[in-house]
Amino acid sequence: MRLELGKVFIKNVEFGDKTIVSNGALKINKNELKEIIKEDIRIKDVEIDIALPGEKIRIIPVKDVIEPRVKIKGDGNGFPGVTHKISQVGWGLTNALKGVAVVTTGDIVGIQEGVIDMWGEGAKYTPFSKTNNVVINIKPIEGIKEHEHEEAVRIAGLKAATYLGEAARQIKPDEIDVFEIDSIAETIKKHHDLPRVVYIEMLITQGLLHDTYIYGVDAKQTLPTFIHPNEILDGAVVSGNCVAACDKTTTYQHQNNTVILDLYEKHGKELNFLGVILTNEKVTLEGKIRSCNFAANMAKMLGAEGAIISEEGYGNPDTDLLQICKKLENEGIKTVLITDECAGRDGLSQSLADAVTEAKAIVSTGNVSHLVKLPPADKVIGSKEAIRNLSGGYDESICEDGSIICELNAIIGSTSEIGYHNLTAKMY
Amino acid sequence: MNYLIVTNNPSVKQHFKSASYHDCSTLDILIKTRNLLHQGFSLVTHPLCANVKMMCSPFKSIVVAKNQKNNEVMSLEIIESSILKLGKHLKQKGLDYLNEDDYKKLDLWFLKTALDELNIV
Repeated sequence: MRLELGKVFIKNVEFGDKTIVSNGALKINKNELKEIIKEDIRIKDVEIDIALPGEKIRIIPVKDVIEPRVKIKGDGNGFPGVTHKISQVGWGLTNALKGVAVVTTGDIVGIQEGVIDMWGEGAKYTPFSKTNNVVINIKPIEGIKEHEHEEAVRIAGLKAATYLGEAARQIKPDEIDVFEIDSIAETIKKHHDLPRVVYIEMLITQGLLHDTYIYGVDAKQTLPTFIHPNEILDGAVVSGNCVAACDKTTTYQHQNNTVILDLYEKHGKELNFLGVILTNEKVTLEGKIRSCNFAANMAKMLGAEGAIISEEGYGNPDTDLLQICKKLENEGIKTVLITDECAGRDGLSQSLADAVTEAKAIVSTGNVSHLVKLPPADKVIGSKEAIRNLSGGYDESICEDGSIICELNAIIGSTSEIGYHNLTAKMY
Repeated sequence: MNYLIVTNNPSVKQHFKSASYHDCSTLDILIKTRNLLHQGFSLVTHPLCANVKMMCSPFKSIVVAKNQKNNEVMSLEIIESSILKLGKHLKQKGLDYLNEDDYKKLDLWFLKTALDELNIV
C-alpha cells in the first residue's frame, strides 16, 4: 500500500468571500462553513473563530482537533464510515493543509476537556498553539442527550475539516511524503536481516465521552485488529473521547501519529515495520484479558520480534498496557511501552496504577500532575465557566489576576502517549 | 454467573434495584469490594476509570461475580493497587462535588457499557 501525503503549507488563516488557498494563506467563507455544520438538525447554532499562534487567546473546553485534508487520488474522502461512504483509505494521494487545525469546543458535561493557549507559558505545552486554529463552537438544540451532543460535535469537526480540506484540491503541494509498506511476506523477504517490529496502539473505548472509532465502528465493539499504518495516517481512526485532555489522542494526532512516522523513518534501515495492531481498552476484566490475548497473539503470529505499545488515558488502561507487555515478553518479543505518568506534583509517587516485572523498557511522555501557571487571556473562545472544571484544575485554580494554576492534565496533548507533544527529557 | 453491583451512586440504585448500595465514599466502595473478593467474589469491572479527572468522581460502581475462578489473583492485585492509587490521589486532590450530576451519569454509563458487554442488561 502506497500513500502520498501532499503537504500544502499554510502560514495564515482569515475569513473571506470564498474558501480558497492562495499564496500560502487559507481564506474561509464563514457563512458557507456555518451552513454545512448546521445541516445537522441537532445543532442550533455555531460560532466560528480563528486563533493564530502568538495571539493572547485561550480555547476552552476543547473536544477534538482535526487536520483538514482532501483525497486527490485513491478511494474515498474525509473520514470513511463517518463523514463519507465507506471506502479503504491509505493509498493514493491526499493533500493536507499543514499548519491548519479545526478545533471543536462547547460544553457537553460539566467535567470539561482541556485548554489550548495560543501564547505564553501554556503555548509551550501544547502542539496546537503552533497551528492556525479554526475554532468551531457548537450550540446544540434544547434537551439533547449527552451522547447525541458528543456525536454532533464530533461530526461537525470532521465535516469542517473535510470542507476546508477541499480548498487544497487544486493546489500543488509544497512537499510530498511517501509512505509505503509491502505485504508481510514481501517485507520479510526484502528486509530479512532486520528485526521485525509491530506497533500496538491502544484506544480509549469505555462509553460516553470515552470512545474511539475505526472506519466509523465503535472500537469497544471490536476485537483487536491489524491495520496498515497508512490507513491511520489517512483518516481511518477518529477520536470520540473528551475528558482526558493531556493524554487523549486527538484525531489530528491519529492523522499524524508520531510512532508510525518514526517507525517509517527507520523502516528498511534499522528495523522492519510490519504494521499496526489497534486494540481497545475495555471496562471489564474479561474484555481486557480477551483483547490483550488477541493483541499479543496477533503480534506473535505476525512474527514480530519487537513491539512498541502506546497507551491512551490513565487508570484502568494501565492494566491492559502491562498485560499485553507481560504476554509479549513471555513470548520472547521485546517490548517498549509509551505512557505518561501520574506521579504526584512532586513526581515521587508510583507512576502507573499497575506494575509487572516484565515492563523493562518504558518511555515516559511526562508527569500529568506537574503544575503550571497560565496568565490571563485577552480573549476566551468557548466557555469561560469551564475553567473551574478543568481536568487538572481545582477550587483555587483561578487566581485574583485571572491567571490559572493547573496541572498539565488540563492542557490538550501536553503528555501525548503517542509522542505528538512538546515535552522532552534532558540528560545532565 | 451471579453478578453483584457494588455502588454509592444513587442513579445506579434507581436503575438496578438489586445493586448493593452503600452511602459511603468511593474509597470505601473499593474497600468493600476488596472484602467481597476475600469472600469468593472476583472483579468483573476494573475499579478505576480511564482518566485522572474521573478519579475525582464522588460516585463509583463496581461489578463483581461469584465463582469466576480464573480471575482471582488478578482481581486481588488490581483491587489492592487501585485502593493505593485512589487513596493517594484523593489525599492530594479530593473529590469534585461541583459536577455531581455529571459524575453520576458517567458512572451509570460506564456500568451500562460493562453490562452490555456481559449481555446482562
